[in-house]
Amino acid sequence: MSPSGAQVILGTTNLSGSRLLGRKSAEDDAGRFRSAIEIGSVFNEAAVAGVDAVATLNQLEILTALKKTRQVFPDLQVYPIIPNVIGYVREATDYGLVGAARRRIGQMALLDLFQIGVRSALKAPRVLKRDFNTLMAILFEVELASFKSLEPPSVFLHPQITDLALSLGNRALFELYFKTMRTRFGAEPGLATNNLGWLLPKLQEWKLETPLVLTPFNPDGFLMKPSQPACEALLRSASCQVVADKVDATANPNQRTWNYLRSYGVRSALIEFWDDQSFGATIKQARKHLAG
Amino acid sequence: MTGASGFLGAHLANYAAMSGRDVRCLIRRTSDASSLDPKRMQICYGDLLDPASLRAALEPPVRTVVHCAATTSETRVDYAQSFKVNVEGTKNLLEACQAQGIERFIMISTQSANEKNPSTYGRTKLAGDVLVEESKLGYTILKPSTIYGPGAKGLFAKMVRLIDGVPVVPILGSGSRLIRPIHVFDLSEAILHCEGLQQTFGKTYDLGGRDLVSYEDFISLILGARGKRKPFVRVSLPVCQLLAGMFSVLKNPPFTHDNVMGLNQNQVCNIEAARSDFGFNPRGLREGLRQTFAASAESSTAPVRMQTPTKERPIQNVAIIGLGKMGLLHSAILSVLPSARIVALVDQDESLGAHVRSMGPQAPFYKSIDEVLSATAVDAVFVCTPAFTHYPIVRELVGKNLNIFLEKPLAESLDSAQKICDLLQGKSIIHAVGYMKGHNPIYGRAKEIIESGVLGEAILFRSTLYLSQVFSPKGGWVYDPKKSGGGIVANSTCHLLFLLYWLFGPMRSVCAQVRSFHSEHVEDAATALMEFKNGTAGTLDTSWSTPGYPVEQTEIVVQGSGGILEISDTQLRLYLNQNAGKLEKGWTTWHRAEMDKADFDLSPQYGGEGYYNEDLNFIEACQRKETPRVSWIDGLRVQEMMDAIYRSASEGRVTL
Repeated sequence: MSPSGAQVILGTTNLSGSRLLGRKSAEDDAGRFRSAIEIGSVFNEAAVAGVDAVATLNQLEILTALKKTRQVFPDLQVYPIIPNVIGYVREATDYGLVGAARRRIGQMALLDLFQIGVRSALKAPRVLKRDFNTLMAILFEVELASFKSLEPPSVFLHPQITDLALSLGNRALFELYFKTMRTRFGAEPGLATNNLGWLLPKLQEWKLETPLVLTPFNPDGFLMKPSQPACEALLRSASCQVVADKVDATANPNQRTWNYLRSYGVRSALIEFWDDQSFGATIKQARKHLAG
Repeated sequence: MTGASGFLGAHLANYAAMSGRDVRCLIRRTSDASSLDPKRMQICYGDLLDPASLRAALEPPVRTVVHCAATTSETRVDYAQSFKVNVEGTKNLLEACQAQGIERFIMISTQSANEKNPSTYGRTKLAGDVLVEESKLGYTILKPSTIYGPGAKGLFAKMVRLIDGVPVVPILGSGSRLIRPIHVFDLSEAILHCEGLQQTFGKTYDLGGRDLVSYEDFISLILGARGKRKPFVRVSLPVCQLLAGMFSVLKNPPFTHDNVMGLNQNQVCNIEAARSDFGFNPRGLREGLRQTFAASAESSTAPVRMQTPTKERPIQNVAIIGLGKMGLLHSAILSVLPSARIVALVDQDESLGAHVRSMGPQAPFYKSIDEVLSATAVDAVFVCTPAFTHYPIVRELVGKNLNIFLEKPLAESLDSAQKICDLLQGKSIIHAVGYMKGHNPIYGRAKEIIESGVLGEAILFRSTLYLSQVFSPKGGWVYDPKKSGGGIVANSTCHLLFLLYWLFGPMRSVCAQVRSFHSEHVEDAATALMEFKNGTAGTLDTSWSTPGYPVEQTEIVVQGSGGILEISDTQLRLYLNQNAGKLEKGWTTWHRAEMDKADFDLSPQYGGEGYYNEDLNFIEACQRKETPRVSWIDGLRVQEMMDAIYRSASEGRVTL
C-alpha cells in the first residue's frame, strides 16, 4: 500500500489523448475527452466504483474536472506527476520556451506568482546560466501551484525526467526533488520510472532513499527494464513500495494480473480508463484483489 | 576480486563495474585479461601464493573481497597445486584481508565442496571454506551449481564445444543425476546483491538456477537451444574413469577424474535460503540457455543484456556534436550502454554545453571537433545538429576517418545528401542515419511478414502520419526550408517514407500535393499517390496540424493477395485469407508488449526502444566493423523520395 493508503489509483493517460496501447484511435479520445465535463464524468464513475486516488499531469481540463469531483468525493486523493513533459514539449513547440513558461505562469494565482517570483529572483544567476536543476526547481513550484488546492499527499516525478536524470547520473536532482517536495509542499516524494531495474540499484549506490515508485509492473513484462526477471528480483528483495503501472500491457487487467501483482506483494496499482463497459468492474476487481 | 580473468570472474567484474562499483581485479601476469576493460576497472597483478602482492592489492579503498580464484576440475588434476591455490592461497588472502582491515569477504565455493565428494577440487575447496568460516571476517560463502552463460571460457563453454564437435553426444554416467545449472548473470547479481546485506554475514548459501534437471535433460536443452538434434550414447562410470585416465596426460583434457567423481552425485542445491534472505530469483534454464546462445547469434537489433566488452569488441569512445533535444537523447542512451563511453560533448553554443552538463554528463565540453581530437581519442561521432549543417560537419569527420551516426534526415537537400554519400568513396567508415523506426521491433516483424510471403503479393497500401504540432506561424530552423529541407515531410514524414522504402523497396513514381495551413514557408500537410518498383502502390497522408495527436502516430495498412496487414506504432494486425504455416486464417494481433526487448527506455511514448536499439546497433556495428541496420545509402533513398514529393507538388507526376 502506498504511504497515503491509496490502493487503486486512476491514471489519466488515456483521457489526455496519449494512449500508449489501446483499441481506440486518438481521434476517439480527443473527441470524447475534449472538455472537463466528459473527463469529470470518468472521475465520478471511478470514485463511485471505489478508486482511492487519481494520478495526473498538470493539465487544465483534468484539474478542472478533478476539483469538481472532489467537491462530491472529498476523500479522493490526487497525485501530481510533475513536470508535464508532454505539455511542455507541445507548448514549447507552439509558443517557444519562454511562451510556454508565460502560459503556465498566466494560469497561476497572484499570491503563488508573487512567492515564486521572489524565490526565483534569488536563483537568477543560476537560471541565467541555464542550470538544469535550478530550472527544474522553479518548474516544480510552477506546476505544484496548480495542485495546491487539491492538497496532494504524494507527488511523482515524471518518468522522462526520472529516467533522464538516472541515465545522466544527476544525483543532485533527486536530492533536490525529495527535499523540495517535503519542505515546500509537505508531500511525500515519489518517482515514476520506466526503468525500475536501473533506478533502484542506482539509488542504493547513491545512498539515497528509495521512495514510493510508480513503474510498469505486469505479467507480460512490458516496459519492465532491463528485464522482467530483474525487476521481479528487485521487488522481492528491496524494501520498495511500488505502485504498479501498465498492469496489463494490452487491455483491461484480469485475474492473471491481480495474481501476478499479489505474488510480488504489490498492493497498489494504477488503472487506466479503457472503455465504459469494463471500467467500473475493473476498479471493483482491483479493490477486491489488492486489498485481499 | 580474485580470479577476475576466469569465466565467472570476468562476467562478475564487468557486471560490477557496469553497476557503478569501483572494481579492483587481482590477476596473475600470465592470465588472459582480454575480457576485462582496464578503463572501467583497476587491474593489478599478483598471486595468491605471494602474500606481499595480496596486501598491495587490498590497499584502501578496498572494502570487500570477492574470492573467485581457484584451481578447478577443468584442467589436469594436480592435488598439490590445487591444495596450494585453493587452501594456502585462500589462507594467504584471509590473512591479507585481516592485515588491511577488510571486513567483508565473499567466498565463491562450489557444490562439489562437500564431504561426500572425494574429488581433489571438492576436497580442497571444502578446506578453503573451513578457513573462511574460522576467520574473523564478515564472510558469506556461496556454493553455486554448474555455471553456464555466454563466453568462450569455463567448463560450460568446453562442454558446448564438445557437443558441437561430435556426431553423437556422450552422456557420462547414467545421465539421471540431478543438477541445478545457474546462469552466470544470476550468480553475478546474487554476489553483488548479498555483498551489502547484513543478514547474509556468516552464512553459507547454495546457489542454483530455477530448474532442477537431470544431466541428460541439461544436454538436451543445450542442443535444443542451439537448434540441433543429436543422438546420445551413454558412457558408464568405469569407462569414464578409464577414459579420464587416458586423457590425464593431456594439458587440457575433455574431462578429468575429478569430473567423473562428481557424476554419481546429485546436486540438488537448495536455494530457498537465498530466496528468503536476499530475494534470489534465478531465471529458468530454457530461457537462460536461449539468452546464452542468442548473445552471440542474435541479430544486431536485438540488445544483448550485460554485454561484456572484449578485446575484439572494445568500448567505443563517442563524441556527440549538437546538444539540442536529439543530442541529449543520444547522450542519455549512450550513458547506459556498457559498450559506449561519451568522451566529448560538442556544440558551438557554450551556454547550451553548460546546460547539458548541468544535467549530469561528466564528459568534457568542446566547441569544435578539432579541439576534441587534440584532447582525446574518438571512435565514433553522433551528429545531432540541424540538417543544413550535416554536409560540412560530415566532410570534416569523414576526412578524419571517424565512424558517424547522423540524425535524420541525411541532409536539407538531395544534392547535399548525395554529396554526403559521395564522401564514402574509398573510405571504410561505419555510417548510420537516424531513422529509428527501422529499429522498432513492430516494424521489423511487419517486414518479416511481408517478406515471408504469407500476405501474397503486396498490392496496395495506405499510410498516415499525424501530429499535433503546428497551429500558428512559427520561427526557427525547422520552419526554414533552406535549413531543414521542408515542413512536415522533411521533418517528420521522412520516418514514414523510410518505412515504405524499407517494406517495399525503391519508389518508382509519385504524384503529390503539399499544403500550408499555418506555416509561412513550409508545408503543414501533404498527400501523395506513390508507386514502388516492386509494383506496390498506395497513398500517403500526413499533417502536423491535426488535433488529437499529442504524440506522433504512424499507421500503414498493406493489402496483399493473401490478406491484410495493419501496422502501427503499438500493434500489428494480420488478416489471412487462409492458413499459412503456424498462422491461422482470420485475424491475428501482436502487441508491442510482446516484442519490446530493449534494456532501457527513456521515452516509451516517443518510440524510446527504437532509439535505444538504434544506438546499440550503431555501437555494435562499430565494434564489429559491420554495416548498421540503417545506413546513409538508405538515408539517400529516403531523401530521393522526399525530393520527388516536393518536385511533384510543383511539377506534377515525378518518375524516379
